[in-house]
Amino acid sequence: MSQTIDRTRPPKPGKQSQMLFPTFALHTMKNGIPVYVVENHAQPYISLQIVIRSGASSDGELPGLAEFTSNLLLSGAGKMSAQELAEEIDYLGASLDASAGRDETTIGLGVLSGFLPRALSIMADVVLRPTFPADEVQRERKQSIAALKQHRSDPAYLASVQFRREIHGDAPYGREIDGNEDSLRKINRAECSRYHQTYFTAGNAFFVAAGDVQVPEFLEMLEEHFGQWGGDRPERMSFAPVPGTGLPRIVIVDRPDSVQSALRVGAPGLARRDPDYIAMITINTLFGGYFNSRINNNLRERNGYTYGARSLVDSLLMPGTISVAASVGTGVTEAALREIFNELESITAEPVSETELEMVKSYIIGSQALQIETPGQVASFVRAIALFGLPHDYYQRFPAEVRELTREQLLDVARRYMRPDRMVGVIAGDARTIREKLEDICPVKVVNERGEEITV
Amino acid sequence: MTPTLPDFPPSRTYPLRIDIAAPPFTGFTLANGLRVIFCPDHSTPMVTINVLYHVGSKNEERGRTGFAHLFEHLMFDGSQHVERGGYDRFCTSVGGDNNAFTSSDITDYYISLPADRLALGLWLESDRMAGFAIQEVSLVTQKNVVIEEKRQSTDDVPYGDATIAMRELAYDPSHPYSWEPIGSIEDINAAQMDDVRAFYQRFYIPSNAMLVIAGDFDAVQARKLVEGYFGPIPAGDPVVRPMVNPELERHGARVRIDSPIIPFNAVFLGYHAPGIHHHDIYPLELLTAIMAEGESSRLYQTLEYTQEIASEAECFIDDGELGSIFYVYAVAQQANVMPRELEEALRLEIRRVAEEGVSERELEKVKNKKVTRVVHSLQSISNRAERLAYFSMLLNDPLLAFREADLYAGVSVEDIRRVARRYLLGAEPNVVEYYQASRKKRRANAAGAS
Repeated sequence: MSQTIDRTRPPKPGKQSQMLFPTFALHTMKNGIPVYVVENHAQPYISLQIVIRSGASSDGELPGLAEFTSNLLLSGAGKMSAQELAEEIDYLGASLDASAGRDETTIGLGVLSGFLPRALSIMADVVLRPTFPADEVQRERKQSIAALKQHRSDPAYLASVQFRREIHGDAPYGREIDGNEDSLRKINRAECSRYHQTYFTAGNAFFVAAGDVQVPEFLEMLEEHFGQWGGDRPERMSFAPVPGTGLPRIVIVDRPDSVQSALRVGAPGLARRDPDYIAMITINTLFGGYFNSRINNNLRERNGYTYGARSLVDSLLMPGTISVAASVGTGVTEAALREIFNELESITAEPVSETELEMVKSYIIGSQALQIETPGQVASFVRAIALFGLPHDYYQRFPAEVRELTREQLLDVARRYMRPDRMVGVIAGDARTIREKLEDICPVKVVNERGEEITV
Repeated sequence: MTPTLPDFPPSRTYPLRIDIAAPPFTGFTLANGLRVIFCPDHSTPMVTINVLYHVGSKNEERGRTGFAHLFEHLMFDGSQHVERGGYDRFCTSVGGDNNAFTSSDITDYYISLPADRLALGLWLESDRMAGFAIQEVSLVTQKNVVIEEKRQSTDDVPYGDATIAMRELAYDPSHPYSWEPIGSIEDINAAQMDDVRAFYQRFYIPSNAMLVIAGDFDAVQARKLVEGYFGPIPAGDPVVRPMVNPELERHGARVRIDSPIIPFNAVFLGYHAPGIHHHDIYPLELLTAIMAEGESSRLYQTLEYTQEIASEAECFIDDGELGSIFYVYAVAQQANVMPRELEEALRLEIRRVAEEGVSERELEKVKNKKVTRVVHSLQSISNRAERLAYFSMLLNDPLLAFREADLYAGVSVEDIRRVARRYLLGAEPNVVEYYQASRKKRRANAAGAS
């Protein structure tokens, strides 16, 4: 019945078929808004994003303003109240939400293609004609303050917020996207309205549509609903990258009773358009970006300190951060931190092995292929092309660029961005229990959840 | 083709009819009892292999809770011809992706690979089904990893232990649903190599598994590979499964948890509901959506929007083969809102829906949501594979992977009212109350808890 199969060794690969990044089309509306379309008619479903090229970095003196404003878009628009909007969207079985990132604000729709016309007219109201009713502003304020309190009960949130404060200081990337108690009390209807008028302009927007899109009809619908949208591109935020500190240091965000410590160890990173970006994500993947990485093998598989440890490259319009993240048992905090510093030492000391390099290259190229399966996934790559101004063939060329990287190039990038003596360690955890031991590693400061220094 | 929608006002209803294209699939069973489903789709050059074992935390014993999940971790740690750590190395070095989860009823593994690596995936999956090779060093390490997983996902997360506390109230300690799949730290630490071997021999056998391959592959070639890799594995002994025993279900119990890590007080109500084989589960599922899905839902509109007492008000079913728990819960919006106030508001909404029923439009709305969700999830090959494995193993009907929405289409407003009355008004819920506490106060039973 069965053919003989040799179980003792791995089978050879079959005939290779290349996974190419799917094509997408770029159309331009009469008022100049770019419309990116990824067509795929396998399921009767469409996702549509309207992206505004301004986000929390444009909060100005009121941290949280971009997020607050975007939350209010669905609380009254055109002739509809918050309740009527919710009822209509839910009835269509659709999802419609708005949220601010640091560089951008996204209004995202997911809907069965047959309901697109109705959903699109609602979306146009939400984006172009929000009414910011006074009672909804009040309600949103209470909800945002409660949500902030909820977020701050999460140690991983506390660690990443404090980590960004340490790296970016007072620059826009150093602030919380969801604001703070002070700013949330100050934000009012006039501020939201002003923010909307300034940044929600045709010159500052692009569309990404993916799925069961019938192109000519779709473009006609966009002209009908968004053709009258005007306004230029507002002045672009720019701020200087924060210089590295030159000294390793540790900051504890005190969380009494914590049974785990949420760790972030990192340094300033690079902008998304930086020519080093692909080399950076490659060395990062090898270091902590996948299950087989040095960091995860060390902290999880060898030592059992954590459920999972990883490292991330957070690259934005302006330089972001690189960091290692893990939640470890309170008792092994110091040991885990030392292991992270050891791994940073070794990745900056000598080139990675050929075997490691080959494995990570195949992984990155292969997993890229698995990540472009659904139209929505493809759309997220197209969105990055549009947002960061990458070449249109960026992802077609990506596999070849990864393949060409050398051990020396990776070492060079590691030495510029991952030096252990440039690192800041941030730990959300029980300061009383962990502080003393950490002082053996480097100077330690203890802060509260708002980042103010305290004594314990 | 295209459903047309008249303009506002929203008072009218427009039933949605979408034909979900079910991709062709075929099934067969090997002589050793392994059930196999093929679901080819050549649109992208990738394949997913999903292996579902019909074992979960309900097959554990008291004193060894958390074992099925701990075992899932060990399955990645070496088999007869794959060294420790090799599974992940083989998978990731070709750009693949893999993971697994354990519930009360099942343990599900998947691996997604470039299409030309199907044989590699079948080799890896069959080798860990074919023979036992787990080493003690893996057990020692993975115990620690799982304990940190528990801390990260339940102990150190606000309300993360709510379902643990609810199961303890809702079931007699001898009922295998009285503990969560993650188990207790004490039991995880107690696990021995003998337990590991015995568990493997009892449950990780072809006749207790379902293999689904979805994506870009040739069915003839794949069948040869499946027969070659999985065919020689011995069938194993039939698995004896725990049976439903309503005697072990508890009602009307209450526990108070004083927690220093929660931002606000909260309350969780849990009602007993039938298991996944009972047809009432479909109207109950729709009822959870009517209660809490989307901003037009009842709990959002009342507790969060109008009364402004909750920052979160949700409803869901934790469903299983032996029975389900229908949850409603709310987290306060301000420090001065007490659990009793949230509980009264939740109970009022439960009473309203059971006594007054729901409107046709409300029902139509949540049916639309169901269809949309199914369509959306079917875009992904790995979702298709997982759904095929789940529906064929537990409900013996793979077609439901694509036709699930049909089961909901037949539900009427009368059905909704009937199940709301029967399961939500007919019995007292079990209640978990959370109070914000200062440091170093721990869980204590409230007076009158049963």
